[in-house]
Amino acid sequence: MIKILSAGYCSSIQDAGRFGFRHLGVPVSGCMDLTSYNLANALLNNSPTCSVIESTYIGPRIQFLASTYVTVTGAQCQLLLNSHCVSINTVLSIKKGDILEVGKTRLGCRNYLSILDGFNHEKTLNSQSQYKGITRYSQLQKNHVISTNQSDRLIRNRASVQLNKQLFNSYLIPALKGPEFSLLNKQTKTKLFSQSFSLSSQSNRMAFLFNQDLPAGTDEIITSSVQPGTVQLTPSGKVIVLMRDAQTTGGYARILQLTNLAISQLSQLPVNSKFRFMPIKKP
Amino acid sequence: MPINIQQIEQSCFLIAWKNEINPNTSREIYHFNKAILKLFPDLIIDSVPAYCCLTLYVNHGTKAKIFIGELLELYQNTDFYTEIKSSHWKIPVCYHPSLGLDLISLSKKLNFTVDQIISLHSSPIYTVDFIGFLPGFPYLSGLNKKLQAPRLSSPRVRVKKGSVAIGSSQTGIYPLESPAGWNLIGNTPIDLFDSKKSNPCLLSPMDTLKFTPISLSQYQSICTND
Repeated sequence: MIKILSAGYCSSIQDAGRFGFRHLGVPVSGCMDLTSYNLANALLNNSPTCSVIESTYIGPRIQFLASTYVTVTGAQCQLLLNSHCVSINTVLSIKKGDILEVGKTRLGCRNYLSILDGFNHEKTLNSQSQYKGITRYSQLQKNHVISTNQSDRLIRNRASVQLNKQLFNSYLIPALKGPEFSLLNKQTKTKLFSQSFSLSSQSNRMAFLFNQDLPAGTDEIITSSVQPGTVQLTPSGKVIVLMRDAQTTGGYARILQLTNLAISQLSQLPVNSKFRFMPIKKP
Repeated sequence: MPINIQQIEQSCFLIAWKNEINPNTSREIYHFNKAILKLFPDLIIDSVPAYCCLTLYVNHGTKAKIFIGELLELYQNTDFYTEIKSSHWKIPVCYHPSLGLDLISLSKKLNFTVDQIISLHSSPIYTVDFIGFLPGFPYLSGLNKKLQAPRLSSPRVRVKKGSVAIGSSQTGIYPLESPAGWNLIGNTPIDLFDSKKSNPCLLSPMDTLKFTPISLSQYQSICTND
């Protein structure tokens, strides 16, 4: 078990996602940066769908109520174990009573804390991913005690990996053409790939918004399906990238579609940082 | 072939019908979805119907060309005229200005009395075309054209769970507290979505429903009995 001493900013329990309920309007949710999430479980040799704690900009401060192993992946950040600096992307051996603090991010903006064999938090509709209206809490709360799965597994080879910096400072976000891409005029198509966008502070786990618009918008479409990574264009020219907590259907034109890797890259971009979309061919 | 299938991303396939809202399309989507789920139970992770498309989220590694070929063949062999087993619901709605915050302004805008709005809204039998946007939110068709009203110029940050609303040619029920840009005309005390239930969503596509007006005191007594 662990106790949350402070929750950090927008921290929540997430896993690979909530599947099988999208036809009921239930978002997929799950970790924003699935690449770092997968690494967090792989380092502990966990099952790939174990739940983790996702944090943004400032992570949680946690006390461990039993000995275990943990690892923190994702953004470069200050990580303190009992006030001593320790490394991210490394398996940490934890003793009962230890306190781990996931500090401010320096490169990237999201961290993933995994624990040996995962958290044993309440599952709703087959997933532990927290989402307002589906789970009791939508975020991590101070003083909450979260149970972990019982495990007597010992980790002998303490794996660690080098940070893949490309994931955290990519200026180019690869994008496939979306179903309504062909509706754009030539000028808008060119601008879409030549213009830089910077992330607006109004962005959240549901959608990323930007400080720049495109010169022309598109008409709304008959409500159709959307998914994480769908890039929408509104009639007034606003660009919206739907993220993990995206709604299941929407009425704005779907001009691009990001792959899982591109969603991971985008989700590590801090507010105001710039990027461009880079067209890639069909899968 | 009246459908077009494209791979949107490695594990997502979009099946598109003619770009229009049409009951025959809804019927085809309903039956084709059933047939796909029956033939590929292990391959499909999620299948999401909408007005004129059906989106399939599939396991990684699905071979696109083969899968699309199989879907087209299945489409040609699907019986779209089998009877649809659907339910009919009576949804109690309290059309009171304290719950339907836009009821009075809408009556002025549309030049109807509040009672006329209630009667126009609670007379038709609506069809659930699909569920989307929010957990359990039904896209309903069948709104009387006289009740069509533009969305609010700036959406409300939060509306009460159970809010019944009109947005341009559509009417719907917000199953959870959420932001909303539609005109609120009432509220239902019935739970449309409960994530703790094994079948969390009350309504299913092709179900029909009718709104039954209830008084504020009836509304309050249903709320307290829950």
